[in-house]
Order: sequence, then structure tokens, then C-alpha cells
Amino acid sequence: MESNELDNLFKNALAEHEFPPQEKMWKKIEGRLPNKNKGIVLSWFNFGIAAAFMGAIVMATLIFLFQKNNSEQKFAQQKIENKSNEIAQNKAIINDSNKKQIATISSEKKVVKKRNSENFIAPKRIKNTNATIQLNLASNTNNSIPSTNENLKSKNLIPVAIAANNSLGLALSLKTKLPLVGNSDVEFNRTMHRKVNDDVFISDLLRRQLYFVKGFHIGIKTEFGNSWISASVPASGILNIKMRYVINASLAYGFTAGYDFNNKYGVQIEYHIVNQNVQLSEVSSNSTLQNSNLRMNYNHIPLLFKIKWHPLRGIESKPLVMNYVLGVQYGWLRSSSAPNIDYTLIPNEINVKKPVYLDEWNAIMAISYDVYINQFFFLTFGGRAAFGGDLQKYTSNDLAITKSKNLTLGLEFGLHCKLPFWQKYSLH
Amino acid sequence: MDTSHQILPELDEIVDGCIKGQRKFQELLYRNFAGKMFAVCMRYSYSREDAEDMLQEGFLKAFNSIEKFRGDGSFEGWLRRIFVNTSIEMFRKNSKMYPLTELNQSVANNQVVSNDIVSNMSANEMMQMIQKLSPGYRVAFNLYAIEGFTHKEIGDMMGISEGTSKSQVARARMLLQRMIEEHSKKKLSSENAALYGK
Repeated sequence: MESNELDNLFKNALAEHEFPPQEKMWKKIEGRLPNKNKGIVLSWFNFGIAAAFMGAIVMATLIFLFQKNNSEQKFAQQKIENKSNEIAQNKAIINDSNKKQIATISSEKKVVKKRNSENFIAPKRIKNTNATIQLNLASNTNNSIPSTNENLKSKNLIPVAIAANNSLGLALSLKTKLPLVGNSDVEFNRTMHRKVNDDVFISDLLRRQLYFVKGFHIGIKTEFGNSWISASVPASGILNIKMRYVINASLAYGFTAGYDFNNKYGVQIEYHIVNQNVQLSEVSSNSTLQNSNLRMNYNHIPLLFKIKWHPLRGIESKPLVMNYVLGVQYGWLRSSSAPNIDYTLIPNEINVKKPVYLDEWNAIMAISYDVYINQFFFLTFGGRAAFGGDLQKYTSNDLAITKSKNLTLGLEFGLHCKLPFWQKYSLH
Repeated sequence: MDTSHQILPELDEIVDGCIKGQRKFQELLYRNFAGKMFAVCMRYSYSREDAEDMLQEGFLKAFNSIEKFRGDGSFEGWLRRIFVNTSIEMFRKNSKMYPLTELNQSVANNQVVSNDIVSNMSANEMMQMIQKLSPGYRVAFNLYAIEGFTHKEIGDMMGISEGTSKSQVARARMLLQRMIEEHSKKKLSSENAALYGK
């Protein structure tokens, strides 16, 4: 054998020969790589943003609750001072006939208007409250047990209660899973094996690590939360009405549909059916504490913009995507009821079943994580804050209530499915 | 189903990710080229442990200097050159342990091996034979026979003269031929033993 032949034999056999190293080798190399990785720096930056965001929410909540407690304390003091006078006045009114009551109401209206002209505090909110006055009169006949009319009064306060809803969402939905996955796996495998360029061939190992980053996805979600409200019926004259809100939860279920432009940005629209069970504690000028239980069914449609970030993980790990979400939400009351109200005693002009329809809006900020199960399915969990208020004033029977504002904090969970068409693969 | 929009990550994207220091792309690059580069390391080393050290050093150098890859040639070629240079550096660090002497060229060419014997050998068997060479012979033979460098280039890289490079390669050939002969004899005797029984 000539020297060149020997050289060529070795060259042909070994020049392109592959000899796979042990799996632990990457870990060793990774351990020696410098930490100039932008992802690590970015992670602290992101966690800082997240901490600031959550801190702002907590601070806003504390400030809000502090202010609310202060106003309630002032009101309680005022209530004690006027207690004896009010009881005497109410008893006198109760003994009068209806005509006399109306006459009294008219005179009281004049007093209210006069006071309103003198005192700018809540003058517009109580223009004419015939129904509410009647409720007050009736409730005074029995101060110890809240009557149905007392509960009815809460109905008049539903506009405020709407914004004070405590919402808890829980959603389940079906997926278009089977046909999509079945068809796409074939295409997925075939496409993954095409040659990337002259040097790189995507191997089976890498194929399993690729995930959709662009395209449509649908899903379901559940949301758990509670709301606080900043508005109430103002206190004035004998019509001092104040509400306190008890934290309560409700259930909702909803669907989501979204489109990811790439692995950084995406949009998502949702549809929630929120079933709220709100407990209200009302305190009126006659010192009665009245409890009401309202069931309200809302529809919410949030439109969200997502900024996605992917904490660095090993290729063999499933992607973990952190979403910073901004958005707006439109909502409307679908139906409502007051289960502990005797409807036979309710005046005709007040419809308890549909006491009010108020549209509301919210701005949404959220942070959520997407945890991938495989290329097609991922779970979402995170926190969401929504703040906003009613779009218009509620007026009924000349009762005007200012637009309410609300803050909602919640936890959300979801299951999503990536639709395997118009998709782009990547490692995330 | 429309799959025309499906796009795979390109090598350019992987390299860009490595330049940005993104670990996932570094891992992707590693997993794409580790097999080939480890084979290079095995050829230049005398043991698997030695090759693993070389593999670590090579990839660390590659990640640290990947910004210098200009993209005007094959990336694999650029990466392979890093590993070859790493192998030579490690050889030069230990060169005091490997005294190189110029041998008589005629001594190296007096062995003849049949092509049939060599062609029946596997790549792994050839790899093991190269690993059995002394460090100087092994590096010089790899550079000349497999990488295709000239003796002058090899001399510059290894810090030896051109003549020493030639003699190192020639000596490596001679030793490889001996090993091939021994290998063929062992294989033949084992085949006979299997055929006729012990």
C-alpha cells in the first residue's frame, strides 16, 4: 500500500466520522460558560418589573381600603349622633297616611334640595328618591329584622353593587385536540427533517424540542378574584345610605382565542361568563344594618396584548413563557336577581330581576406563565389586575348615582391549544 | 393543511443567538456539532478523557470567539479549525513530554499492507489505532493525512521543522501499517478459531 493510499483510507474513514460524546458533557461545558448571558440579566430585570407591578397593586389596594374604612368610621359617628332624632322622626312618618307620607316626602325633597344648594357634597346623587324613601319608611317598622323592602332597597343600590362585584372565574372547555394533533404530527415530523442549510441537519432530538411560536391558539380559562368599589350612594339628610362590601366569590367560565405574531408578541381575546354572588351590607341613616345577597351574571370581553419572555432553560426542558399582559375589557350585565327578596312586596316600577343594565370598562394588567405540555398544548397561570368603572350613570326613578370605579385582583388558570396551521417552529 | 409557512431555525439564527450569549442557542449549536467535533478530539487524543477535556476547551473557545465568524465560509470548517488548533495547543503545552526526533524516511516506507485488510476495518478501529500513536506522530499524521495541511504549515503550527514533520508522518504511517497487520492477524486467527474450534 502506498503512503497516499493509507492516508486516503484514514481520511475517508475519519474525516466526517461522528463520535457522540456523553450526555453529561454539555452540563460540564455549560457550567464553565461565562454568565454574560443576556437572559440571566434580563431575568432580574423582569422579576424587578413584576415585583414593582405587584407592589403597586398592593399599595393601591391598601390605600383604597384605608380610605374606605375612614369614610365608614365617619359615617358611623354621624349615625350615632342622629340616631334618636331619626327614630322619632321615622315613627311619626310611619303613623301617617300615604298622602301624608307623600307630603312629607315632598317637604323632605325640598329640604334635600335646599341642603344640596348649601352643601355641594352629593347634591346630584339624590334628586328624587321616592322608592328609597318608601323603603326607609317601611324598614323602620321593624329595625331588628331586615324586611323584604329593606332588601329591595339594596336593589336600588345594584348599580353600585355591580361595580363592587367579587368575581371568581372557573372555566372548562373542550378542545379540538384529536384531529389537529393527528394530522399535524405527520407534517411536523416531515418538516422537521428538512435540511436547514449546508451544515446543519435537525435531528430527531432537536425536532422534539421545537415549539410553535407563531400562529393561532384557542383555549379555556378560569379566573378567581375579588373586587373593591370606590362609589356608593351618598349620605344626605334622612337618606343616609352607605354600603359596605363583603368579600365574596363567584364562578365564571370562558373561552380564549389568540394569535402570536412571534415568540415575543401576541394578542388574545377572551369571552367570560361571570356568575357573581355579591353580599352587600348597607347602613342607612336610620341605623339599620341591612344585608342583601345579589346574584349577577356578567359577560366580559377582554382584549389583551401580550409581551412574552422566555426564561432560559435547557433545550431538553419544555418552554416556560412569561407574559406581560396589557388590555381593555368591556362588560355588561346579562341578568341579575335578589334571591332573598319577596317579589310580591316590590313596587311595580322596580324590576328586581333586571334592576339595571350598566356597561362597564376595565383596563387590565396581568402577568402569567405558559407551561408547555407538548408542542400543541400549554397551561397558563398567573395574576390579573383590572381597574375601571361604569361607562354611564345609572338613573332610575330619579335616583342618580355617580359612576363607580372598581379594582379587581384575580388569579387565572387556563388550558390552551395551538392550532397547527400557519405556524412557525422555534425553540422558544 | 398548509405547511408552507413552517420555518425552521436557520444556522444564522443559531449563530446570532450564540453571539448574544443565549444559552439555548449555545446548546443547540453544541448538539449539532458535538458528534463531529468529538470525533476530531478523539483523533488528536490518546484517551476518551483526554478527548472530553479537548471538547470542553474547544466549545468554550468557539462560544467566546463566535463573533469572529464572518460567515464567508463553512461554519463547520471554522469550528473544526478551532478544535484542531485546540488540539495543537494542548500538544504544544505538553511538548516537553514528547521529544520529537527526525527519523530516516526509508525506514518508514518498507512496510506493505494489503488494501483489503484496511478496507475491512471500521472507523472506530482506525480511530483506536491513531490514538495508540505517540502524541507527535498522532498530531502530525492527523494534520497531514486527514486535515490536508502541508509539512511547512504543520511545522509552523507544531513548532517543529518541516523535515521533522515529514519524519513524524512517515513514522506514524509505519506504525499504523504494523498495527493494521497485527489487527489482520488477530482477526484471521479468531476467524480460524471460530471455524475449526479451539
